[in-house]
Amino acid sequence: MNSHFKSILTRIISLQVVAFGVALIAVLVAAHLLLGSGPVRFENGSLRAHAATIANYLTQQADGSLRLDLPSDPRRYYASGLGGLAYAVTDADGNVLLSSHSNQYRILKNGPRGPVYFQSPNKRKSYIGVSIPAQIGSRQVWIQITRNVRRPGLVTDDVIIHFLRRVGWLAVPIILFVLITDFFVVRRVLRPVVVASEQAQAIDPRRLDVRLSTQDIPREVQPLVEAVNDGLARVEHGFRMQRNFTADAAHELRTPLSVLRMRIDNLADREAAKALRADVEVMSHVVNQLLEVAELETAVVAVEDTADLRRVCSEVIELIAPVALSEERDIALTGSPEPVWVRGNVPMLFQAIRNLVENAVKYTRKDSTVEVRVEPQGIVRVLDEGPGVSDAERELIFQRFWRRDHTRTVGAGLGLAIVARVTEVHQGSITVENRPTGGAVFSLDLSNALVG
Amino acid sequence: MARLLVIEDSEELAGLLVEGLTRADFVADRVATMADARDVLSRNQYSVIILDLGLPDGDASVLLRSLRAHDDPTPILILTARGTIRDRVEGLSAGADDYLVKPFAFEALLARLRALLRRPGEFLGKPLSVGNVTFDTAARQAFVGGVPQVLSAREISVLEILIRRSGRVVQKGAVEDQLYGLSGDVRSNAVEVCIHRLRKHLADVGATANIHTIRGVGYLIRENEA
Ligand SMILES: Nc1ncnc2c1ncn2[C@@H]1O[C@H](COP(=O)(O)OP(=O)(O)O)[C@@H](O)[C@H]1O
Ligand SMILES: [Mg+2]
Repeated sequence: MNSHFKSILTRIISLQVVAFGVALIAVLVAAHLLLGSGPVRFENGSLRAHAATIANYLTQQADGSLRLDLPSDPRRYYASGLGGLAYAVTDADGNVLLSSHSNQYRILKNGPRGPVYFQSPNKRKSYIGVSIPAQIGSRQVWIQITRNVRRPGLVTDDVIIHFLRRVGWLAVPIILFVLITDFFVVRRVLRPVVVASEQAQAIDPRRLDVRLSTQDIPREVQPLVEAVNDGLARVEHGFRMQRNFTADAAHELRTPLSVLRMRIDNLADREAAKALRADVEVMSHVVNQLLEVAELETAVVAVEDTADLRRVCSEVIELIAPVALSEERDIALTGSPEPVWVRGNVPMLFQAIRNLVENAVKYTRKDSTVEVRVEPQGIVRVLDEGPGVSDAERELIFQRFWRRDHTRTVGAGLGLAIVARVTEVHQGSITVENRPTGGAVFSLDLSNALVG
Repeated sequence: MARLLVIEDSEELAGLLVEGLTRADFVADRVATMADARDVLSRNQYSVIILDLGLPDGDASVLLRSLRAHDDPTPILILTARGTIRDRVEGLSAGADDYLVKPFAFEALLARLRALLRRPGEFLGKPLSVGNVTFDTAARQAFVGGVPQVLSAREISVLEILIRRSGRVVQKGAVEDQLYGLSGDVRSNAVEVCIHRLRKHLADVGATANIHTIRGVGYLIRENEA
């Protein structure tokens, strides 16, 4: 089906119009063939009927002459030449008394016989005719009707004209009625499909238990709906597996770390305990990041999620500022003094911005200030005064496990991968540039998600 | 002496917890499943419940919800292995009073427990301190190195709100609210002026704690690095 007929309704109606047209043509062709199969019999009958009509309207005048008072309807057949009909009324000698064309018009040169059916004598077979005797008053006459057979559509003309005039007009209201009924029938039949579509609209990765209702769905559409439901079941299963894996992995990794941590806290050797605690800290951090990466695989932003970027940044800074101060680095929040609302998930954005700020604090030089700038168009920039990021590394740093310096064991190179994933989930972009004064600027652009 | 219930399925972790809590002068009982927890809770009264979310007989937030549904007011501290984005919010919305993500520092657990055990009024009257700065919340008097300080009412209340949350950031809005509470006349830079004076005062009298400004966010008081 081509693209002009997208809706089932227009398809049905257009197909039906085509069907009506085909049916009409079929009827006409059938009539033609039917009539064509017995031309002689039919022509004979048809011409005889015409002769009888003429006889009917012939009257003898007081002076003995004949008079023909054809009503307008049959007269038209002869006048218009429709069907190439002609008539002549002759006496026993073949003298023409009345004629459709001229009084001299003489059809049978050897005088009338009949009743008789004849064809034109020459090879061209240009006409057929009948000659019928009739008694009009006191006179014996022969009525001859001929039809020009060289004119195309001779028989059907008559039939079609008759059909269209008597029956044809009935077809118009019938077709209209059928088409209008189509409209309502299709709408009614497809109603359950519309309901199913509305249910499909409500599907959200957080509510994967939704299934399309198969109730009242037309049998033809049922396989589609069932296939969609099967697909949903598989997706739900996959999501559940992934989520359960994340939860199980978290439990299995964090509980032993807790035990380790408690045992270290109980150690008598304070110095050794301090070093070991730092190790557990690093391991916990990596485990946390791995779990976050796993969790983000199935993360989505719900339609109703909104986040104030300024507030999220402020909370990230509240969390990190004490650590930064201990490491003799400062943090400042600048930019829009008003809330900047975006469509976004607060915990996820918190995670992303936290990773950016943690990196900035880690890499900025001592006694410098990390600036977190929230721009009103929905962009968060984190500016530091560290070594910056070389052109070659600009893409690499967002890959999982990529680190510039593998000799440092702090961090697994997952932080920026988490940032990239959160950005992707929010349909934003994350870029890094170097400041003219040195240092890096990470720009998290969520302007596409800006609300209002 | 406060009696605690530890609901934790890991044998080792539970053992270490009970051991540590006993050393810190608590009495701690331990169960490993929700079924056992329901059983002991029906017979005993506890001051705080320490609850691990992932238990062998299911998600312990079910237990949490049913306790809250029966108006059980016992403070509940959640220990969760799933410190993931989703679960963090879930625990608190299910009715927990606080939560700690594994692995946690035992000191942090003790601090949270003490906070939960403290009656709201108990806060008052306890001297707070950071470095050599102490603050008597009952008398509303600040000391530096034991020497009483003469401060304005505004300075006192700003110092109090900062020292109550020492080492953590206090939002500028919260400090402003504190000042508005004192008098209707607060100019836009009143907080800055007050902080500036307080900072100068502390430095002048040799305090070993300092007030830091986190630009665009708030303030924080902390002990100076050695
Ligand atoms: N603000 C920054 N300045 C300079 N380099 C950075 C900055 N942030 C990240 N990088 C580089 O990107 C790499 C990957 O960062 P990240 O994914 O956060 O992993 P991690 O911090 O665990 O090393 C880091 O190892 C570092 O080389
Ligand atoms: Mg990092």
